[in-house]
Amino acid sequence: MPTGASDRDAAMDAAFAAGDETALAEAYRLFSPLIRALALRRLQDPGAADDAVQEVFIRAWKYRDSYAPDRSTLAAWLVGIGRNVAAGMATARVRSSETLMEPPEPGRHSGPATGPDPDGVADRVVLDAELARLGEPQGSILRLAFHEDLTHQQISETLKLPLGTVKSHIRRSLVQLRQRLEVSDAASAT
Amino acid sequence: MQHLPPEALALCALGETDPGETAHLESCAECRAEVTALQRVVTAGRAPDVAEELPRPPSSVWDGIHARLGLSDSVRSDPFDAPERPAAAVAAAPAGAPAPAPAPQESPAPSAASLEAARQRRQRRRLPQILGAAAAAVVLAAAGTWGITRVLSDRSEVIAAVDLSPLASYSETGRAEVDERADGERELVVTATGSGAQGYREVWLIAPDVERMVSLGTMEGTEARFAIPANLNLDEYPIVDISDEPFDGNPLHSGDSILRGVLDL
Repeated sequence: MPTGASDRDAAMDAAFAAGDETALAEAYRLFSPLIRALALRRLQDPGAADDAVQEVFIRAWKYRDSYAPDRSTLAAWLVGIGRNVAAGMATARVRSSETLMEPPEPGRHSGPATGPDPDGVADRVVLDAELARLGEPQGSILRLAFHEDLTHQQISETLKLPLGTVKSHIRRSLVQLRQRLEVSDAASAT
Repeated sequence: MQHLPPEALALCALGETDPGETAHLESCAECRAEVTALQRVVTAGRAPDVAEELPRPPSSVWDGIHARLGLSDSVRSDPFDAPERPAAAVAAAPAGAPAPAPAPQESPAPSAASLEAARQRRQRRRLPQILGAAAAAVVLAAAGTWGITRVLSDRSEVIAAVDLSPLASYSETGRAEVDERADGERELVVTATGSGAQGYREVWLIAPDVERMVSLGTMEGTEARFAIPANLNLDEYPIVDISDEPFDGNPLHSGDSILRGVLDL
């Protein structure tokens, strides 16, 4: 994984892993609204969502040793912990021993929709952070495909790269980014 | 039936599909599943950026974090109210990182020259990787019967293991082992024959009351390794469970287990 994109986020991720408290504060400023939105959607209770945010950042800081900046962005890792914490709180609330055996009750997860879908926003935030780490020319190829809606032929012409190179970068980058998004589904550090 | 080549699947996920591919996708569940999985990335990439509009937590949340973690006074105030503080974090950028990258926001399309430079950097970087792989091969060959797993995981010791049995309607078999490394870190190593999963597989540690559970992550292929959180007491969560999870964005256990076993601790 090229580390060429030494942007502000990469610096924050490394500083967080190294135990810099200002990086924790910065991560909180950047990601706590998203983590709160994810928890709120799941728990349907603003007070519980605030508790979840607090728990996520406390847990993340305590277990920062298990965060590896070269394996995922801090965004993906925190969102993964956020989802685990919210799911754990939701499970604790549903005191039903049939949780595993019976299909989930409809309506338990889908509260009234308010504003943008937090899971969709989380994917976008995580993806942006990962895109910044992708290196070049992969980052440019995907930005052109996502944001400019260019076809792979147009990308090949724009970046003056062979068609086959563009196609294989698209393939490999999508697979890699998908794995990175999956980090945010379930962090191992909870 | 001939499957679509991987690169075509990726282009399909981006919406570049020709009629022949469309027809194939309609009849081939496997290719369709691959495209669907990649589309999650594309959907995220094309989603509007609205994270800024989400409301911030009340200041009491940061107060609680600050108190519980015993943080220093320099980060006392709610980060949303504190002035921007780029210096400390940025100063910690890894040494040897190339000097100033363009603005972190939207970088313009790179020039041909910079792309060429990037290509050369990548090629130079590839060499040590190849050497690394060769060196690893020598180590593995030398390891002989001692076992590849143990070499790779640095003299780990198996402290618990169990054969996983299929639940009704599944025929897979599998095994779960808990490795403890010399440094005390524990890993769950799960192997499973092919996947009858409709969605994706997720690996869980579950309490005997089948109520509390911890998700360790998703599983691809026939073997997966997961770090077990240091403070997690396996006596409390002895059940290893692999579930079939639909792509529905719901992080709870689907209730559909493929394999399960109870660790003998």
